[in-house]
Formats: sequence, C-alpha cells, structure tokens
Amino acid sequence: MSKFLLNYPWKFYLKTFFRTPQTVAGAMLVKEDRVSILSPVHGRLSFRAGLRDLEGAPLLNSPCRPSSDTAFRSGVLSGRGVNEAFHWVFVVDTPDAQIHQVDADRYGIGKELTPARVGHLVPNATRVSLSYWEILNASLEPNGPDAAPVSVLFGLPKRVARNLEDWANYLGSSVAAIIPLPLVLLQQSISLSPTGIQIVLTTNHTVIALTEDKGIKLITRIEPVQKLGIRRIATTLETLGEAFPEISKSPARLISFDLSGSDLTDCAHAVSANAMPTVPEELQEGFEVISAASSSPVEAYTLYRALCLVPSLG
Amino acid sequence: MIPYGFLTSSRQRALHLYRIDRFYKATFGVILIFLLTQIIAGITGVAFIYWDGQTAPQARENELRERSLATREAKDQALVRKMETAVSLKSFITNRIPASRLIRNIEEAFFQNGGVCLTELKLSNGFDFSNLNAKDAFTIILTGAIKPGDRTPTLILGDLTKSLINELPKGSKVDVLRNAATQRAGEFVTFDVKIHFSPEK
Repeated sequence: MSKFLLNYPWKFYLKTFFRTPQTVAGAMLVKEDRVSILSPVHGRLSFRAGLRDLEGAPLLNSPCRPSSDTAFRSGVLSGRGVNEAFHWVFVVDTPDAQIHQVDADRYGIGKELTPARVGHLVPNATRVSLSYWEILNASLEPNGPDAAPVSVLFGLPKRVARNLEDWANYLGSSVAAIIPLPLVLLQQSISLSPTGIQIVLTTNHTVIALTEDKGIKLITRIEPVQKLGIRRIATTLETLGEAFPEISKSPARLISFDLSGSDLTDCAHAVSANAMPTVPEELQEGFEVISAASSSPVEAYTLYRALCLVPSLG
Repeated sequence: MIPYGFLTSSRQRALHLYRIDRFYKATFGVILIFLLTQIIAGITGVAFIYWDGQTAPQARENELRERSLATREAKDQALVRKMETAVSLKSFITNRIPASRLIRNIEEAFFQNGGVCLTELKLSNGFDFSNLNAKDAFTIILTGAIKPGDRTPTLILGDLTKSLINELPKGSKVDVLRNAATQRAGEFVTFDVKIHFSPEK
C-alpha cells in the first residue's frame, strides 16, 4: 500500500484527467563520451548529436537534473514535446553492462529473474545484486512458453538506470527501456545478415554472435577492440567457428559507429577476406528519413532501430 | 522486440502501469470526487457557520422580545378577559333599551287611559354579570287603581293592557296579575300588571 501511494502519479493524472495524452517516444544515446537524441519535432524525426558537453545532459555515472535554465533543456529539448506522455528509450554503452549466454533450460520458464538465480545461471557474473537483469531468447525477444536452448542475459548497473530514470522523471516523462548499445547493433547486424558471424564493436565491448536464420547459436562478449586488438578478436572468432563450421563459412559482418568507415573496413579485412563492414546506406534502406542524420547516419539509424525495438508505448 | 521496461527499475514499471491501467486511473477519479465532496461540504459548513453568526443576534433579540411579550400577556390576562367580555357585550350595550324608555312607554299608556292611575312601579333586572349569555331582561310590576265610571273596570284594565302592548317595544310581555274588579271594596279598583321585557335577538 505504501508503495502504491509512494509511486502514485498525482501530477500525471491531474494533467491527463480531461484529455488523453498523445504518446510520443524518443531515443537517446548516452555514452561516456557522447550523447545524441532522436525524437519527433513537428511530426518528423529529428536527430541531433554532440550533446555530451551541454549542461543538463544525462550522465551514466552521476545524477543530473535538466532544470529549465540548462542549455540542454532550452537548446535541445525545446520543441520536442517532452512531457508526461513522453517515453524515453535510452541506448547506453557502459563497461559495466554485462552480456552472457545462458542455458534457458536451466533457468526455467516463467520464473522471476532474482539475483540468486542470476548467480546460479552465470557463476562468473559480477555485481549481481547491484544490477538489473533481463533475459531474451535466441531471437532477441522475450522468452516464450517454449524453452530455447540459447538465451541471452543482459545486466545493467542499477546506478546507471537510476540516473537515467531520475533525469527522465524530472521532465515528467518516463523510461520505456534502457537498451545496451551492443544489443541494438547486434539486432541491426542480424537483420542485415540473418545467417553468419556478427561482430559488434563499441567503445566498451566486443560482442561476437553466430546466427542462423536470425537465431543466435552462440554469443560471447569480449574486451573492446581498442583494448584487445583486432588480431585477438580474429583468433577468438576462429575458435568459436569450430563449434559451428557451417555458420563460420558465412561472411562475417562488422558493425560499429565508434569506428570510422575506414577503420571498420580495416578491421573487416583483418578478420577475414570475406568479412564486410556495415555501411550507413545499408542501415537507411527502407527506413524513415531522419532529418539531420547526415552528420552521423549510423548513430541516427541505430537510435531509430532502438525506437522500433520497444513495441508498444501505450 | 524487447519488453517494455527493459532494464528499468520496478518503480519505473509501476509508474508505467499506473499510467496505463484503467483501474488505477479510476482510483484517481474516485479520490478526486471524494476530495471535491469534502471541499463542498467544508464550504457549506463554513457558509452555515457564517450565516448562523449573522442571524444569531437577531434570533436572540426575537427570543427576548417574545419572552417579554409572554410576561406582559400573562400580566394583562385579567384585562384581556374583561375586554373580551366587553366586546361580547357590545351588541347588547349598543342595542339596549334603557329602563327609562320602558317607564316612559308605561307612562304614555297610562296617559292614554284617563280612569287609570299608577300607584307603584317596581323594576328589577336579573342580569348576571358572570354569565356571558345572560339577557338584559327587565321585570316591571305595576300597581295601579281604576276609577270606574260608565265603563267596567275590566274593560278599562283591558284598554290599559292594550295600550301597554302598543307602547312598549317588541319583546314585552304584559300579564295581569291581580284584577280587583271582582272584589271591589271602595271607589277605586286596584290591579297589578307584570311586564316582562326581554330584548329580541
């Protein structure tokens, strides 16, 4: 009862008592070194990057409030209709995010994902009780009634989630989802190459997944390319390919928006001769035109993909 | 597709639930109506208190006046009763035929009859002051004497009786109490006549 009263959204009910608000969704990339936003402005999706240094921008590791006198609030959020009916999809890239492959049969269906269960499923998982955990199936969707042999466990520090939620709640808006950047990029990569080797490169993670018909057969997270070097990644890839030789014959796809186009091409060549880097044109295909996306198209369309990943915002 | 609230706190999910769930939204409607009724009741109560404050001095004054009037009414009860009696007797008083007129009528009847004289007139009134329905009735006893001539005393007394009936106002009843014509002892014959007058309604 106290929880009910504590969370009771008085302001929201008062503001929406006589009118049903029109739900609007926006995505925001929050990294340690960059912040960018994608949300509708006058009914058209508008992208804006390079917001990290603006006062009032959300931070991963410290609380921040976008008060009305901050540059972020007045310069970026103005005209984007951020109110009580606004839902944020945050895309985050933090070294503390965790990605593990787990055996869904061991987890069981319909059970609550408690820290104890996470510890049981992944003995080497760190900061178990200090993180929020979610499990997705091999198609990167919620687990259904049928147990899949492969499931992916995602962990995010509570501190990061709390900072972003407080930031959004200060504006009266709510948070629809906080998605690790590797998950969005992996989903993008799989949609372009349903079968093959997917290599996701971010500042903090390298995620390698072997997929067949959009289903993940094997997934692992290793250190970022800047730290590990592309040679070590290629070696790891060879080791993994031994488990699924048919899949390993398929071309590998590399995706990243931290690396420049030429760097990504170099990495692709280092991995294998038939590895292909993902180019912005591939991401834009069949998608809505986003204004001001030309400055960083991969980033803009990654945010767009993140928006599409959260199905219902009603 | 990933589920709504992916990697968010339970508080954030609860917030979303409150925003979309019809039941929770309805609770707000109920609470709002309850608060509104409380506010209306409060305003009505304050208005009543204010109105009471405005009318209380007037009510106290009215009560004091009513009490003083009751005291005065109790004090003047005897006078009121007398006035009520006077009012009820007013018609009798204004329409009353005074005794002097009756006597004048009797004298007139005697003047019309030459052989008759009046020796005594007794007048009495049985009016009961304690009885609201008492009648203002007179009883007159006439004692007189007849000097007979060429006519008999009985005829003379009959003429006097007729004259009295003619002269006296309506409501008068004339009776001969004593006719001494049959026991004539001297030159004059005495007689007694009783007149009873009771005003007609």
